[in-house]
Amino acid sequence: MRHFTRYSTLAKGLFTPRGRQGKKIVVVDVRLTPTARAADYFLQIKPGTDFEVFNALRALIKGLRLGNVDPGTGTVAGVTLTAWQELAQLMQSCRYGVVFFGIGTTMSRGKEMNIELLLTLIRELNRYTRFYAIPMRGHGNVTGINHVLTWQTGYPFAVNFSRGYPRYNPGEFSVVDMLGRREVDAAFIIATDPGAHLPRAAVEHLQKIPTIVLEPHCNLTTPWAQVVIPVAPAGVGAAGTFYRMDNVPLRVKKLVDFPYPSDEEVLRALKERIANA
Amino acid sequence: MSSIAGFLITVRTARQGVAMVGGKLSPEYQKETATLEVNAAVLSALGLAPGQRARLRSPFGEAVVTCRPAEVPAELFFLPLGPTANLLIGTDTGGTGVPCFKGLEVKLEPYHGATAGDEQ
Repeated sequence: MRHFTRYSTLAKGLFTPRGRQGKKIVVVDVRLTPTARAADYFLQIKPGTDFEVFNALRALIKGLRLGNVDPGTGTVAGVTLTAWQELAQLMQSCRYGVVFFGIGTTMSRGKEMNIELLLTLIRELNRYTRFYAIPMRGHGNVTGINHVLTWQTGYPFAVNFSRGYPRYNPGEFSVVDMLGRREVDAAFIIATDPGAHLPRAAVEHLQKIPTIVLEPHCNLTTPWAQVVIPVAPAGVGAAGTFYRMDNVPLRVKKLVDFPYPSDEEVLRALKERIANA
Repeated sequence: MSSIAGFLITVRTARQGVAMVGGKLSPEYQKETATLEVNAAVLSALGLAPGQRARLRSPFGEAVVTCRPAEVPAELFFLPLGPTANLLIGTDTGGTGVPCFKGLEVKLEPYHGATAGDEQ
């Protein structure tokens, strides 16, 4: 709801003084959600058809005819061609459009190819108007680790330093794959909860190896981790920087004294201890 | 009908978000992340009433869930991402780094047995 009220649907800005009244919201999803109920248009597509949808929109925006779809009665991904034509027209004619896409697009059939095609669509839309695509991030500051890793290594995630220099390969160096293959023999978890978010086999392997967790809360990893180091949460007990999901870094202040050190203090102490060992 | 095949889609719910604030070890979080949203006609076909339990089976494991009827397509089952859903997900990512959290083939069947939490 924060996104709705402050940043997207209801927000008023310099060029959108009427807030919700000055915007068109279109939701494309496989089911009716509260977001879809608040939208102007809801297009309920069949699961796993993202690639098909983006391709169709690209063709319609270029004015091409979809050869295998009847112009009168045809459908794409379970939605009438007429509805897609209206959406393509709306996207082309708006002053400033944004596609917010979630893990339904990135994790369903097609995966990274869906995103490649979506970004191609957005690039082509910019020939007509101003258009962006912003991934909806699931947790606070996921964007932050992507930024810092990219700034430090050139790669956004799945970075391996075992040879002394960064190497990048999702599927080989990503956490689920490495745990699934049982290649990891010790884990240092910072500010995330693999016990709640990783597949069972990955969690079972973590439970068998030394796992150290830096975490301000009790979560589904802390009960079985071998070492839990409590830390002060950034923005409450420690200063820090969050990256908003539109890539804007926001500095947060320390509000209250906390009995625990910050992540940075713990990491610095560990680094010095290892360097002087 | 003894079981129905469909596709599991892991999601996030507002209830899950609220329960998370109280802690992931809270009964509210555990209950919400084990609640499956299913088409009402599918529930009836399985002989299940709202609030009754069912078992999901995938090639990687099985999990017992509580069923909640919802306005969703018949072939899709929606379960919040969390410890229950993780029992069903495999570790193969197809070279992308992310396993199949959306569109995993599963079977849904009525469940009449006990679960680990029943004794408490």
